Amino acid sequence: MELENIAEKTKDSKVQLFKQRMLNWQNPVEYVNNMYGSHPGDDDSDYFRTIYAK
Amino acid sequence: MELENNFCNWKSNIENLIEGHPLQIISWEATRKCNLSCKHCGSPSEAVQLPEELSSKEVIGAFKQIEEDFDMSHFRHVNITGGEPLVRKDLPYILENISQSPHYRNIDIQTNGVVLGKNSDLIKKLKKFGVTGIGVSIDGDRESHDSFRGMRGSYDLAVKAAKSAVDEGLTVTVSTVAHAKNVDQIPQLYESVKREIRPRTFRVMTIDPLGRADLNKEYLLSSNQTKEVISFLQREYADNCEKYGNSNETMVELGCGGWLGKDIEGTIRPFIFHCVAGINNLGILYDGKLAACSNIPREFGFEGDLRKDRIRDIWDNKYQKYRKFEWKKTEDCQSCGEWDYCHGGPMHKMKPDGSRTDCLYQIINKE
Repeated sequence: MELENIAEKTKDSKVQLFKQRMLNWQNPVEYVNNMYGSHPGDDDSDYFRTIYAK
Repeated sequence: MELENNFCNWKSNIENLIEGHPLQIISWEATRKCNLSCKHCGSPSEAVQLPEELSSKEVIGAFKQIEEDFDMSHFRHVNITGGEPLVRKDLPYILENISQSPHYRNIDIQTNGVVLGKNSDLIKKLKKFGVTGIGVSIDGDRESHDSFRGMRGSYDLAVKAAKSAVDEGLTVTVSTVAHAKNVDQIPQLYESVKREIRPRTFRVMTIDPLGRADLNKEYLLSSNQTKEVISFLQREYADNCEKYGNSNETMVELGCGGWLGKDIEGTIRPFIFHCVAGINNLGILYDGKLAACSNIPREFGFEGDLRKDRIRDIWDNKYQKYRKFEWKKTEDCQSCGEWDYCHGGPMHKMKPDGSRTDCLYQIINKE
């Protein structure tokens, strides 16, 4: 594998938008609760569909 | 500035979570017995069932006790690990019992795929008894995986197991431990897994110098190899993450190997990392000892024993080393600007004296 400039990929605007949504999710470890499956949140929210909405 | 504010918000939410420590995940180490002897295994797995293993009655009783004593309104899932959980013959019986509760509606099993690959009907039975997710370990191409796992044919069985779980509609994670001898195969493996298995997640974990991996040092990654893995995952994430809202797509992620820094967190996996051991994750070990996560080395000690203690009492009154972090502020952490966010990184990399096996943030930021 080639070694790329790791920081370069963080600048993509859609990546930054999704990151912002992750940071503002009420439960900061929500994804861990979804490891190995998609488990609806307390308010029945779907983490992946919400974070990665267009 | 906006990003900094978002991190402040996230940090405040983490502090609230630690303060409240709601039980959301139970990691149950079903057995120490394993049918393989993998070169990287961080768990001291055994060839035989140990006599002190919890009986099915004790396991079912523990899950019932938790339901009675805890506020289960935030509870999410049970994660079953090992050893190899599926060598435990009474596992379907246990699952049948605990899955009758509405609180245990999401049950995941981490497996090497050998038992599942040999028994095509088992996946249907597991699904019937409440299993919703399967994690299968695949560590390279056929030759590399079989050599690493110490069993010819184990690759084909793992692939078969993962495919059968996908076909049955379960959420599947394929996990790969990146080590010095398979690191160049990972991009190809990812393509092959995506094409042939179509799991929801392709998880890569960088090998930890724990358990058997610490004895097989030729498998440990160099700094450059660790950077290569991170770089690969970041590229794949950036190129494909806008599709991740669709549950038919395969997501890449770097597993819980540690904090990567505020710039990279959130750009390589679908979450911002913070270790949850002892915060919302309760570990029940094979013999009833109460821990924070089954990945944490046993030398780290236990918080209690369900054969003697009420689990809720232990959860409320112990686990302080998982919720108060100053003892972890040693070595590079003392002057690191990331401390307020990572709190010293994942507990499975910690040693009782406050030092750690490695730090991914330090590795990727050193020339």
